[in-house]
Amino acid sequence: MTGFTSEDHQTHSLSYAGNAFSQVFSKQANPTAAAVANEWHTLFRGGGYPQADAIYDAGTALQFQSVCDQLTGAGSLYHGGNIGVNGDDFKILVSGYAVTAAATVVPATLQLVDVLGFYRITAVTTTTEQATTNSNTFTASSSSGLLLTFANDWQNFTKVRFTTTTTLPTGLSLNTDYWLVRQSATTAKVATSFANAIAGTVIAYTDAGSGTHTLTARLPRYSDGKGVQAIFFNPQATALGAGTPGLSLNYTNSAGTASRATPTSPSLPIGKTAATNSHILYSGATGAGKYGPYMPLASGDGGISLIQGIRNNATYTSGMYSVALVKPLAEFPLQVLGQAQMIDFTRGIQPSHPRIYDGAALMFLLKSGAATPANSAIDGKLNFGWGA
Amino acid sequence: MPLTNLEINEAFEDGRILRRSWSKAPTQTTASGIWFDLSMSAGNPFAQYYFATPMQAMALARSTDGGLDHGPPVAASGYRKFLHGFNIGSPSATAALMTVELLDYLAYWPGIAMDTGVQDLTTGISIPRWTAAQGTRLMIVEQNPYVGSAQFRVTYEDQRGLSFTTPTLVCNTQVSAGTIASSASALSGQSGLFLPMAGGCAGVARPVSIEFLTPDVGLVALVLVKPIATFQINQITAPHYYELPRDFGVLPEIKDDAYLNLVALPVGSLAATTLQGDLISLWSPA
Repeated sequence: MTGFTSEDHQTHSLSYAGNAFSQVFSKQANPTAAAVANEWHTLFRGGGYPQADAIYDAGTALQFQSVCDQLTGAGSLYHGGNIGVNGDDFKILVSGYAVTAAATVVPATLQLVDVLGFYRITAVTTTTEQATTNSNTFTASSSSGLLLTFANDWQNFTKVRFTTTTTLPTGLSLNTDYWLVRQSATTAKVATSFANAIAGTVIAYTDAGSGTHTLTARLPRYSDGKGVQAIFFNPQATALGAGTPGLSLNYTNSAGTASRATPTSPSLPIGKTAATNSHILYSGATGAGKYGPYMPLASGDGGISLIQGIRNNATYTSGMYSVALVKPLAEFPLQVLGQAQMIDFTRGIQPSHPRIYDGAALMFLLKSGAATPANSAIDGKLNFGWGA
Repeated sequence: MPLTNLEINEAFEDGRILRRSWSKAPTQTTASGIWFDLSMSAGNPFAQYYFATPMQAMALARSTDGGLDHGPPVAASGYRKFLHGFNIGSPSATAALMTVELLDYLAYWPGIAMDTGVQDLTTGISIPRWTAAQGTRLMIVEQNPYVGSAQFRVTYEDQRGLSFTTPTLVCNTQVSAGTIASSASALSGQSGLFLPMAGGCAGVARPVSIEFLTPDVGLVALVLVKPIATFQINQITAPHYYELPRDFGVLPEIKDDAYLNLVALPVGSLAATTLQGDLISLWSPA
C-alpha cells in the first residue's frame, strides 16, 4: 500500500490509530561565519536540534560512507522510528512548517533532504580525478556468525551486494541486498534486512565459499539513484584555502549507465575561494559556474546511483570538502520574518506525499536570500504519518 | 469506530463537541525570536508559575491546575477526545506575526538554582498521559529572572529508558519569567523551544539531572510536554480559524485531564498585548 487511499483513511490513520509522529526542530545556521546572500549552506553542523553532525569531516578519504538515522553522530532528525515491521513501510511527510524570527534571515529557502552517504576529499591540491572506493574484496570466517574481513572501514548498516569469482559463502546470494553490522574497522557481520541489522540478527556461518569475493556498497535508500543529487560542501570549521576550481563528478546514473560526467557547458560548477563551514561550494549570487544547490547532471540523467570519481580541476590550496548524495524531499520558503510557512504535502496545490524511508537521515539545506548571521535559528515542525 | 468525515459529522450532530474560549494577557517583556511560555501569563486560563518543591517532579492536570478548557474526561464513557478546531487572534500589533504551539504540559521540575555543579532531579510520580514518551520533549523555562549566558547541560532518560546528556547549551539573556532559556534568534549554543535529543530518541521520559557549568542568579524549571498542534497569527485584523482535519489532515488526541497551554514565538514584546481564541474538541467512540 502506498500512503493513504482517501481523506478518511488519512484522518483515521493519523488521529484514531495514532500512526503519526510530529517532530519539532530548531536548527542554527553555519556556526562559524555569516552566509553570503544567495549562497546555499548545509545545516548539518549547525547547533540546535537535531544536534550538529560529527561525521562529514571524518572517515577514510574517498570512501563511500553510508548514512542513516541510526548512525552515531549523523545529526539527523528523528522521524518516528521504523515502520517496516508494523505495516506497509510507507511513511510520508504529511505537513510541516518552518519559521525564523532571526534578523535578516528572510527571504530564505529551507530544503529537507535525506542524506544517503558521502565521500570526503582531503587531497584538495590534487587536480586530476580522484577515484572513489565503493567496494572491497573480503574473506569469510566464523565468529558467532559469518564474519567478513576486508581492508576498508565501512559504516555500520552499509547496504551492500556481493559478487565472487567462484562461490559465495553459504547464506549470501548474488544480486541481493544485505546490510553490514560493523564489528571493527576491518570486519563486519551480515544481516538480511535493515531491521535485522539494527536488531543484530546476522547470518550464521556455514562455509567461507571459494574464490575471491567482493562487496559493493549501494545507496541505503533510493538505491537505483532515481532523484538522487550530489552536493560539494565544506564539512568543517576550517575554511577551504584559496582557489576557484571547476568541480566535477564521474558517476553512474539512475539508469545504470556508468562514466557519466558533469556537463562542462555552460560551465563546470566553480568552487568559491576560501569557502566557509557548511557552504555548498559552487552556490552563490553571480559569476560563471554558479549552481544551487545540486551539481548539474548530464543530459537526460534523473539521478546518481554511484560516484566513481571526484575532481577539482585546480588546487584549493588547503582544507577539505565532502561530496554528499542526497534525495530532496520538501521545501519551505521563509518569506516573512516571524511568519511560519505551513505546508500540507497531501492537500496543497501540488501534493507530493514525500516518502520517508526507514533509516532516512533527514537534514536541512538553506539558501540565504540575504546575508545570514552565524547561528541564526530556524524553527519548525515536521508531521509524519503512515497508513493504518 | 473509524474516525472519518462521517463520524466527525455525527459527533457534531450528537453534540459530542465542546467549544471553549480562552484569552491570555501577558505582561512580560518578550523579544523577537525567543520562545515564551504563555502558561505563566495572566488571563483565562489563569497563570501558573511552576510553584512546587524545588527539583521534584510535579504533574500538571486540567482538574487541578487549569489550563485551556477542553471539556471533561470522556474515557470512562467509552470515548476518546480529539482537537477539531482552534481559533486564535489578537488586536495587538506586536502579536503578529507570531507562531504558537499548543502543548500538553505533563510535569515540571521547578526551582532549579543556577549554581555550578550537578543537581539531581527527583521523579517520585508517574508521568501522566503520554506514558510511552513518544514525541514528548523537555523545555527549560525561566522561572525567576537570571542575568543570562550561563552554560548548562541536562541528562535525561528517553522512551527506551536510555540515558543521554545534551550538548552544552547557553541560556539567553532575556530577563522575563516565562522565557524559554534555550531559545534565541542568533546565539551559539541554543536549541530553540525544546532541549535537543540524541539520535534515536523518540521522546523524553524524564530529566535525570542538570549541570550548570557557569553560574547565574535566578531559577529555572524543566517542563516535560507533548506538542499537540501549531498555529500562526499572520495579521491582527481578523482571527485565524484552524479546522484541524481540513487544514492539517489530523485531529490530535487530547488525553483526559490534559493540561493544555501555549508557547509563542513572537517578533517583538508581548507585554500589554492580548491573545484570544477558541478551542473546539470532539469525542468519538474508542
